[in-house]
Amino acid sequence: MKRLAMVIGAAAVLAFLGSYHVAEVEACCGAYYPPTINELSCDPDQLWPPNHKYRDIMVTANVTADPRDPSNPPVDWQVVSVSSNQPDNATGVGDGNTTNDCYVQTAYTTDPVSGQGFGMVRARAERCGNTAAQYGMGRTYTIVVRAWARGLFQTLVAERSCQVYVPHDRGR
Amino acid sequence: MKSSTWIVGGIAVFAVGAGLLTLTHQEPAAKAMSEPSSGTVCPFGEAAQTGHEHPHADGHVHVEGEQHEETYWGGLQDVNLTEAFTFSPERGETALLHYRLTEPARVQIRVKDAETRELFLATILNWDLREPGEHTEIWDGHDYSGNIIDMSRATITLIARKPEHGSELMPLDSRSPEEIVHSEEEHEHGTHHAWAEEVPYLRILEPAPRAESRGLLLIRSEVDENRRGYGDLYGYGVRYYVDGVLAREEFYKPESDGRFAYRLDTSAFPDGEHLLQIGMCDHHQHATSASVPVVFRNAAGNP
Repeated sequence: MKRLAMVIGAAAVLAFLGSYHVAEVEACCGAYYPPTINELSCDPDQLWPPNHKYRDIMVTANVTADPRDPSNPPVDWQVVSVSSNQPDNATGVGDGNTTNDCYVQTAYTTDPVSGQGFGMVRARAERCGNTAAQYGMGRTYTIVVRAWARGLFQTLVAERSCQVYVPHDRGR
Repeated sequence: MKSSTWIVGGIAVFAVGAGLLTLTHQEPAAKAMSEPSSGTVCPFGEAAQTGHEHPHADGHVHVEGEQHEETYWGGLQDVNLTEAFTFSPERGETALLHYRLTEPARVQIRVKDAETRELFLATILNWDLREPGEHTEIWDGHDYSGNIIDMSRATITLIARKPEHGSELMPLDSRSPEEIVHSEEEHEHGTHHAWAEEVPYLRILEPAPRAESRGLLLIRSEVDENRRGYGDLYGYGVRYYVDGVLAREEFYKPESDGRFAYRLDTSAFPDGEHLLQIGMCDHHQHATSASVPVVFRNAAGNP
């Protein structure tokens, strides 16, 4: 009887040891993987005609937590910068005499009706008309979006860009 | 009486063992991992389920106008990686990547293809320890093989983690990217130590850079024998891309010894210059890639 009790007791302990998992503890603190920026879009992605006027560019992104993240942490995103590959007021023709050619108007907001999040950028429809190599392809505005997720012991950031073109001419 | 004593003793041992196990056992199973926990102390998992709460810069989680006391780690501040998207590595420029730490952290910065899952292109910082203060990392814009990365289709990621969590186990589950290295051999998923994460080095042996080819192109590559990842245990997943488009994925058993070969049908692609990329990972997410520019000439009349 004594041996039987010992065997039963030991078996119970071993069975417990073999089956127990603490994955929930590991999964609690979230954000093991950087967020994923899917389907980043700048609309419009081309500005024409180059009449030096500001155009509104809507930036939308589908930002999700990495599907592998066990706690599916919330993620936020916003537009963090817009820059041009040409000087604000380059020498030569076609660029006009303007400065502050691009800026982030709204980093992030939501459409009150649809609930969809978006950012807004303003950029001038202009480019340097020089045909020199560095200008010949027109102007490119690069808009950068940042997404982040946070956990109790780490922060994860992802950045991705989209481009808006002002062609040198209609042919390119 | 003695028998009941033993039974009580067994139960006591059982309870003690369970208590100790709760503190020490660290082997989450794939099954449990795929089922996000409920009722845990983590506010973020719960927030994600409602979709209404967001952590804000003040370190608190806001729930419909209320402020809760649960906080996240706010040691990473003032991140600015945008130069990675605007500099010109072809002109020899370098990008300056800025961030600020309010306390020591391990930092990882990587570049991956945004259009293709799990194609890592460069590791700028691999869990290096950084002290509190302003930090600037310099990057030359090149991938693991020294070719310039097209950042218009890339994502750059930065992770900063409290160093005392350096021994935390990284949870894995049955999805990407391990799915490409699954063999018929059954084995249990679990965890691996994040700091055991070394970037393997993959080199392309064939073709030579800018080599012209037609028909079937033999592609040979191998993992550096001193930087192999865990492929010796479970094998490697290897993906072949042409201009970022997945052309082929294969699994190699450990017996492959980290040597891979594939014949690519170049006639399926337009003539001209392309970038051939090989993405590789082992079962524990040691991921890397290699690239080589190639030229396809299949049209009649091409020499």
